[in-house]
Amino acid sequence: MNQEPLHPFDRNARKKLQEHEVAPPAYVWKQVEAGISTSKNRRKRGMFLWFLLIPALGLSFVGGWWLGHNRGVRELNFATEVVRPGMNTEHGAAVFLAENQVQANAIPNQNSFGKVVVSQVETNDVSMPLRESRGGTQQESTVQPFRENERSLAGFENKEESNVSVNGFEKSFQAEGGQENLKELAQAERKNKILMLLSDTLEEEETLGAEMPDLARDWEEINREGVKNKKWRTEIGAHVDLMGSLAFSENQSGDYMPLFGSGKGFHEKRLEIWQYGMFANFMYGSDQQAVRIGLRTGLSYQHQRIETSREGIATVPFNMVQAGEQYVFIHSTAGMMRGIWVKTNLSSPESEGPELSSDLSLSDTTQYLRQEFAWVQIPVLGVLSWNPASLPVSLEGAVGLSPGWLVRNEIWAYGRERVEDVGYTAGMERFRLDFNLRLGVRWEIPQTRLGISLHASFMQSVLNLSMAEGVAMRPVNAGGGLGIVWRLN
Amino acid sequence: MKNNPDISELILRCRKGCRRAQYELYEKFAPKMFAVCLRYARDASEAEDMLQDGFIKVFANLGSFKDLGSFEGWVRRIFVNTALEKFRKKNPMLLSSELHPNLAITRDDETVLNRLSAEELTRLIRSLPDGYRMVFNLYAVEGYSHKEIGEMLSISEGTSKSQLARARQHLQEKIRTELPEYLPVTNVMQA
Repeated sequence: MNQEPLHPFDRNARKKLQEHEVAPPAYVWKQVEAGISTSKNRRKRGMFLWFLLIPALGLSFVGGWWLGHNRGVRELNFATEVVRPGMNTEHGAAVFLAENQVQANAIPNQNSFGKVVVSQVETNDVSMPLRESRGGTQQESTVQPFRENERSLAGFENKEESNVSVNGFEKSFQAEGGQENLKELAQAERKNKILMLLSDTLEEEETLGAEMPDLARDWEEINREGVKNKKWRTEIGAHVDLMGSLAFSENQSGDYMPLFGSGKGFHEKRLEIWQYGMFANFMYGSDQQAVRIGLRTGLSYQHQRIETSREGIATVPFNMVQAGEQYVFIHSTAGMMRGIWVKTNLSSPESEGPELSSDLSLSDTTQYLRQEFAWVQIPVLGVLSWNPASLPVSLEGAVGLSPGWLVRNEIWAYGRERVEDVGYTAGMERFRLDFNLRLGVRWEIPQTRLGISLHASFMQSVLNLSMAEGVAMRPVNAGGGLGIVWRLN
Repeated sequence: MKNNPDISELILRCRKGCRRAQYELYEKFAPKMFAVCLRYARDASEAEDMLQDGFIKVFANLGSFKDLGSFEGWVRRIFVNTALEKFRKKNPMLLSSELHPNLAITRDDETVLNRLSAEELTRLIRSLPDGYRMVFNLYAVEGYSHKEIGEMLSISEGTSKSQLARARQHLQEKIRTELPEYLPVTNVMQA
């Protein structure tokens, strides 16, 4: 409050006006009464929606888990199904075969996500151990003999000519040079089948077709260079996070955000609307620090380049988790966020200081209407995902930096008695660099492309440089939440 | 400042959602707050809107009022905040009128101000340009310092001071042109 002696003019005005009363029209009370009821109902409705949303997410998670569990039982029935032309196989077992140069047939299976993958191999060499990876440990196991081919090969022993059927392809063999030669031919044909199987996961994502693919790739070449699988993955998602933030000032600059410069305690309810979502939060603070907590809802879009190699760094989406191998993939992601923050029209009656805003500034000669602050932030993250073979989930970690610019847009009018000039000014107000860390677990509902994620995030502002005031507030955010993700391919 | 026990009792009943108590509270403070709104608003209709919004906030936030300070002060602060919000929301292209630089406030003007009724003074304040009106109300009537006003309106202390001086000059000019009957005879003659 003002401690200075008042000008006589002001003193007279205060004396006259401070206790002045004017009876308002009677209908205003009716409007106030209606307003009280509406705001109560709105609050109740809001709480009801949140209470509805949380169990809905929980139910979808449990329901999906139950579905997955039951489909897991049915997988056993498909275990003996052979690869057929047109089937979309994955490369897990094929990589194994290539690595071990095992001449064997591969049995497709349906993983927990409903996708046909090769998760079991059969070979005619019953003594050959098959290396398996389950839960990160290597186990030796003996596999079942390759019944179909065993029968086919048995047939060669007594016939001069035979039709061999492997993986749904048929080939006639002429006996030239005896049964041994026939066997060699049959073995070579099996090698071709493996090559075809491998080619299924190559760049062009060829599937096993009716026509024999071009087998120009030499077995040795494939063995040397490994199997490469490159593709784009696109996904969209929605999430709800509980976020907490602590911001502290280094120079107590009041211009970073006028809220922090009031010199008084304050609290306010704020709704920030961004292009990718909303952040409803409560903020409490003083001139040196501010704490806020709130719920953030948002949408995400990711377009990722996935690369696979047989060297163990495999970029596999979340549909490979039961293929008997562990997968790790690394990729980077970049995006752009741009938004306008908008405050709601709620006051802070507990506050000692006034609620402040930066949307208007006055000066003696030039009058400004400050229309908008816009954030442009470009997060660049390195993402590491790991699909443990023993779990139907993928674990994801991301770390990176997000440079951002606060751009000021002003529409201004200049003049004294009348508007003399009107114009528009845009300029960079602040530069900010944030460190981001994100950890998450994701599970995809079987037979669908719908995934559910649980994630935690942490953000520390490394630099927050105000063009006018130097280093300003540096917030730290931490939070976690639930999300749903729809894989488009 | 400790509040009247009747007020504390009334607040308690309001918090419990008693409509009758809410009406009593409204009845008690509405005339004073309407006078506040009339000073900040451009016209009566805007003042009624402010009064309505302000009371809705008062009732919505009664739970957060701690019975340590003056309740009337708390309510008044809500109304001032409501007026500030309206002011910002409108984002007016403010124009500062050029006033006669030598027009100083004389002893006669102070005397004239004494003769004016509160209603007439309120009407004159309402006719001030938005920026002047806000600064004059906040400084002269509510008692905020220039530093506080600067923070509220995102302006410098110096700007707040100059806006106040201009507001006074503007009021003086209004008195001279619109209410000459209040001026001393000699002054009118000189003018």
